[in-house]
Amino acid sequence: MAEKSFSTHVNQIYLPGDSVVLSKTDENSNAKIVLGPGLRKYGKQILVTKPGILRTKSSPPTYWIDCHHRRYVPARGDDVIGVVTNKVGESYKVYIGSSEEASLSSIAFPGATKKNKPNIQIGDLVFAKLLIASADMEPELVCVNSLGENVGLGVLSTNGFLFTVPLHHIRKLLNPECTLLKSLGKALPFEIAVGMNGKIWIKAKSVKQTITLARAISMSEHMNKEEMNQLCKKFIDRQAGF
Amino acid sequence: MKETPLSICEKQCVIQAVKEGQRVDGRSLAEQRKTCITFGTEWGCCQVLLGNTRVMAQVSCTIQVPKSSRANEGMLFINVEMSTMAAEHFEAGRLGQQGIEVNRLVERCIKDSRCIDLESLCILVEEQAWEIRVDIHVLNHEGNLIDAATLAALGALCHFRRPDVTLDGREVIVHQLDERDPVPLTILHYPLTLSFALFDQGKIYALDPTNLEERSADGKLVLGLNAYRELCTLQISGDGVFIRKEAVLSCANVAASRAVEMVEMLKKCLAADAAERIKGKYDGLVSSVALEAERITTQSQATAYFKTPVHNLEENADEESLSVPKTKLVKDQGIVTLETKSDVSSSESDIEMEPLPPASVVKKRVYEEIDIGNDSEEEPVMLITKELT
Repeated sequence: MAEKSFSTHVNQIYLPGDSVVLSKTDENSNAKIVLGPGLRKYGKQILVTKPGILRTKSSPPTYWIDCHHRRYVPARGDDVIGVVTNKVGESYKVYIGSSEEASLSSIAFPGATKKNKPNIQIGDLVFAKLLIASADMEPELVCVNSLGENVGLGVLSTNGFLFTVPLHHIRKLLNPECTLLKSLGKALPFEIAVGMNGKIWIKAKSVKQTITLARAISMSEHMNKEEMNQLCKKFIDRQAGF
Repeated sequence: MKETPLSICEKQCVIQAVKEGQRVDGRSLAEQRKTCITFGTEWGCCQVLLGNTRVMAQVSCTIQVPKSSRANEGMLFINVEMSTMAAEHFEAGRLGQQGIEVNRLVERCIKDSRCIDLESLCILVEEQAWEIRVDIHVLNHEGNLIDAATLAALGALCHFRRPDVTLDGREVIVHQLDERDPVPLTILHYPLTLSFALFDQGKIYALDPTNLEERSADGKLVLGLNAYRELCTLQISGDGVFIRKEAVLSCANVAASRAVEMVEMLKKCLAADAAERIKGKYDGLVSSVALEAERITTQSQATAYFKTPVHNLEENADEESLSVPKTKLVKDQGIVTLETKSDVSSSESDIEMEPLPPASVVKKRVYEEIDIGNDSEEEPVMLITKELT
């Protein structure tokens, strides 16, 4: 396959085995280039290892392949939603969709001490940040920042609904340019937690509203901006009673 | 691998939604997911899509020595395979509890209801008979495997053609497919299963449950029915679930009318497949892939979603109050199984069947008139009829 240059072929489809070349500006600058998921340096070449679309962002110049994924591979710093499956001593085992269950210490909550532990039942949902995510170790979750402060993480209410979407959809929803969640919120107020592991927790006033919102979000997977706007418009019209 | 744990949050939401008469995927309680039946290029290959649940069945045949107890009959063998591809907790080569349940229920629905005329499969009494083997492969598990598996198995059996045989004295000649047209199986009736998830101690039931609903439900009611509204199988499973007999009857009524529609749909698909084959340009399962490519359009889905569901359980409830359904035992020939406890489920549920009314009580029966190629030789055992008073 013909070699493609990064800058001119951003947002194009690549297949495993394709090679990509750097653009002149990236080659000449001394700045480090970050290769994200789906790209690998092989000798002097940069090879594609996953089928998908080439994406980029500047400062530092970062390139990755955006492909359809359902399985989550833990990455340090990701906010994820997990299901508490077991309590082992001072820590909880949390299912986050990775190959190994993550551990969450019972004192890694805002204001928690050895004596004052959070009340967590098996089957509860937690929204937590990945502190350790290496290939050979058990992932570790925390619900506080490095100063032990509350940063909006913690146990999620059982009144909401949890559903799973492919990972690329999560990235699309969390993109600052994506207005879907905001426009939906104009029609129906809701609480949402979006985990990088493909899980979304959502809670609106009633179960009916929760379900409608959840279905609207999962339906928007293959939509572009315009279609999303149309969906939101329809949604708002419907709420208004048209 | 372990099955994805079910959170309290999901379970509560499903139960709450069902109590309010709706479901997490936007359907109403008596609505099925979109069903799609496709046939392969080979005879006897059928793939069923029930929402995202995907099951494929392949029928094959061999000549065997018939059983000494049934010397003039062929054999039917049903085998279920659940690969790890379908769900993370399935194990390759081992069926597990769920797999055994599916296998046994498909067997009860198709084999024990004697929908295939096995006597026509005999070539030489006590010497040679056809053994029909149905291999059911679960390709994706998204709830309600039993219904998908039975529909796939039935579709494959209807689609299957065996090589023609002739006898030269006592010598059996098996003709190649190009030498003589292959022969379809004799199908006496078309049994299907329809599953209901039971919630709130059996007071609420939801047709065609998804995986999430199956796991959140108290129990499950599986009904096997054919297009004559005859009951072939009944199973209630779950941990300590009680169900009222009225609920069983109204479920059976909903299921019976759905079974009629589904058999009609299967026949339409079979007819379309036959028409395609006559044209000669047949692409088999490839067409199903093309169908899915269409499905990934966006606005079309959005409009479909905002439509209000057609089926409504409340309407059914109204009908039932007007004409009380009665279950009637006509004749017992031992072909129909009516069991209230599951073979594999850990618990049993106690159901008292209403004492059956004498035949004279039934004044008028409303039958669904459906043209089915072959008439059933067997007398129906259970009839679900609507009595008009």
